[in-house]
Amino acid sequence: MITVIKSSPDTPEGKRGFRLARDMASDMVLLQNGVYFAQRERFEGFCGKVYILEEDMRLRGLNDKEILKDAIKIDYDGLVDLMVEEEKVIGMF
Amino acid sequence: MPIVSIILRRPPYGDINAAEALRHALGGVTSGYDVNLIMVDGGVFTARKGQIEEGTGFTNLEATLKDCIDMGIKVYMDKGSMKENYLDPEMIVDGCSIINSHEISTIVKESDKIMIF
Repeated sequence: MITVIKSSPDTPEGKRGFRLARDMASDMVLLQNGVYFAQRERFEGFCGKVYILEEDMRLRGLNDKEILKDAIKIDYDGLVDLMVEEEKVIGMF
Repeated sequence: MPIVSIILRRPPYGDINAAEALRHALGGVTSGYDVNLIMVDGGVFTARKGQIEEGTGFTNLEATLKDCIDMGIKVYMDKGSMKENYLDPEMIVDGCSIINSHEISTIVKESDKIMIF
């Protein structure tokens, strides 16, 4: 199961999606302004996998040093594969 | 000279707000206004260094913001919003002033026109 978040951390939608994914221990896909969630300080206690769309991350100036160490960087094709293979896709928040 | 303050609340690239705020700021300064650009909430992300737009088709807003500063637009960053969004002073473009919410309210109070994006 993956939860897809495209809204920034300062939006109600983004906060709702992030909290829901954490509470469900669901894997998370961060794209568009959702990539700002990837800052490592935000992930205490989260045990799912985190995927981040690299192109959106680079565009916004985020670098590898500040994002979650275990975040898995994907490209657009990788995103499509994820959404096809997963049995449940929740989003986009 | 009339003072125009533009308050940017939205992060860049997710929607048109950040690009439009910067475009209006440039328009204001070239029309002879005294322009303040105030970044709050997710808007503070617009001042991040290291934005790489290659291959995305987007206009690089880091470069546009530097143009704004070069043109004499005063750029202010809300200290609280930076803290909330884990932004340290060295992560943002040079030439931005980091101020608190009380100083922001003073700037807004003294402005003739306010635009919010």
